[in-house]
Amino acid sequence: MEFFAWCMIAAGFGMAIGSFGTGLGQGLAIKSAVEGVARNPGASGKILTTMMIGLAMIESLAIYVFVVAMIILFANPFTEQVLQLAAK
Amino acid sequence: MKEKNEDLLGELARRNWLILAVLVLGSLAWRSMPVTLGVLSGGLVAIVGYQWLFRSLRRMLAHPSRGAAKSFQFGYFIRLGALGAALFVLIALVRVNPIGLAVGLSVVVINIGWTTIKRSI
Repeated sequence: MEFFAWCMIAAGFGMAIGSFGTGLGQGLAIKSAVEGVARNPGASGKILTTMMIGLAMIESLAIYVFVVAMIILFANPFTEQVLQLAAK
Repeated sequence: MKEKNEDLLGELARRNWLILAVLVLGSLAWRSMPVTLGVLSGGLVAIVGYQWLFRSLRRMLAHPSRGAAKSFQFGYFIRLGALGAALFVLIALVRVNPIGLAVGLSVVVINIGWTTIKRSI
């Protein structure tokens, strides 16, 4: 049973760390973009494009972490082996 | 320059579909339904998320107001919830191949990397 407890801890901590980093990254990107638009409103189109691309890149990291957490929780490839070992 | 940048986003949106098609065709080599389904569904999730983010950002920046910011925040959480629910269904219920899903989810990242390399050359 320890295996499943550690899986939950790993998924939870992984998601927390991933979200923390992604949140920081997106916050910094949007902060810089807003400052840029405030200084030069004429460049808002260019800034939107760059920010859009940056946000998509940063957010994909959080999505990867989420996928890994879901795999650990619901599609763990070692579950069968652990259950077999536990049954012995 | 503005037109060029707007065209860049349109170009990225079009190329997303092209990359997804190439990845799905490549996944057919495995002759496995879960792998192909994983790549296809992952790519669709990534592209829909990208388009959704782009539309909500453009709407907010076109009419900047307190109401627009609230609407963007609400839409952002709805989008994250929808993406999370879609991934949960794909992994836990449909049981698509996780590697295929990760490859499909990388469509936008591959596209941006490709565009960056192309522009820097």
